Amino acid sequence: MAAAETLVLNRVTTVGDFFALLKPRVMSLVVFTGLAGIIAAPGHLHPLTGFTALLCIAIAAGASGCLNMVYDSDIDALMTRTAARPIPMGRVARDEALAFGSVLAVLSVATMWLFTNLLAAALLAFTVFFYVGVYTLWLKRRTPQNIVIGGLAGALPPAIGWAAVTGTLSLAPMVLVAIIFLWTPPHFWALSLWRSGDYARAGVPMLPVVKGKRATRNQILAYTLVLAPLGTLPAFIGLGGMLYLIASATMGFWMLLEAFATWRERDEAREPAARRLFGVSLLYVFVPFAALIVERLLHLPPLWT
Amino acid sequence: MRDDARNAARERRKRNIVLALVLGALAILFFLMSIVQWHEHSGH
Repeated sequence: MAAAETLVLNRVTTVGDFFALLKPRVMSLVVFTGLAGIIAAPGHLHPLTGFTALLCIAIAAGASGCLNMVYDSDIDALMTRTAARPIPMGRVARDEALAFGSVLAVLSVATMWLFTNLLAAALLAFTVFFYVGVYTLWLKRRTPQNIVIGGLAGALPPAIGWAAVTGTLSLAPMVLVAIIFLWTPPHFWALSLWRSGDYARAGVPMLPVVKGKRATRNQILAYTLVLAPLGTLPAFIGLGGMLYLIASATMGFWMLLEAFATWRERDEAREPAARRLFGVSLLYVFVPFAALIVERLLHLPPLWT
Repeated sequence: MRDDARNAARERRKRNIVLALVLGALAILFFLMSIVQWHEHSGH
């Protein structure tokens, strides 16, 4: 009787459970970079259209996260970081989450098409397909390159925002995409260095599990060495101004220092340098993109025209 | 047990209210976006 009661209690799905399915923390990053794409793009977009485009990007990102949780509920239950998610906890049924995520994905892409343009909607649909179909279903359980290739899905929002305004793509939004694409591996590998036991238990072939921590540290440093100078590139192609250059160079240098500290780290039990790198890598995206947004809002000129 | 049933009913009611609010907000957004689109296409 007690077990049956617990089951009934667990099955009462709250609004918070559905919200948790949308991976709100990942969503906030996607919304922020999408906003940067919308604001940095040349041309005019009605503020309400801009808001709708951003909402579509947010909902599509949430739908992707939800569908990811549907497929990964078995391995989520095995990892400390993800065991409390609504599906492994039994608070949301997989079928419910599947329906929820699918409806949100279709709704967001259709709305984007209806109120902006086909290119933005197609890019948004491609992002959902890539995150769910390519990353979650195909790569995640098969190769340590999962987050390298799969990172493209998380990197595309600035291009989607840009396309929503202009209806086209150019070098500038692709540079923003490239920055997030190259940022993703060091960010997630830093996390996986101190969570490698979790991933090993769940059978997810993250780099530290398959190739070892030494190889992961080398890869983190290599990616960061490319990322740091690339991060300043928008200042030299007429996109960012002095504020962006200072923000990106400072953050690039800081991330490089932490990547180097992670490369030299010997405390494999606690991985303090990797934890610091993870935190700095979050700032690495927020600070330069915020500088880009501020420059546009204050009408500050780009460094190179 | 009665408390659990009451809590579950309250939670369901809360869910329905949030769903109604979200759908209402979407309807308003679509209505406003239609006006924006109509304005832009009619050259105002």
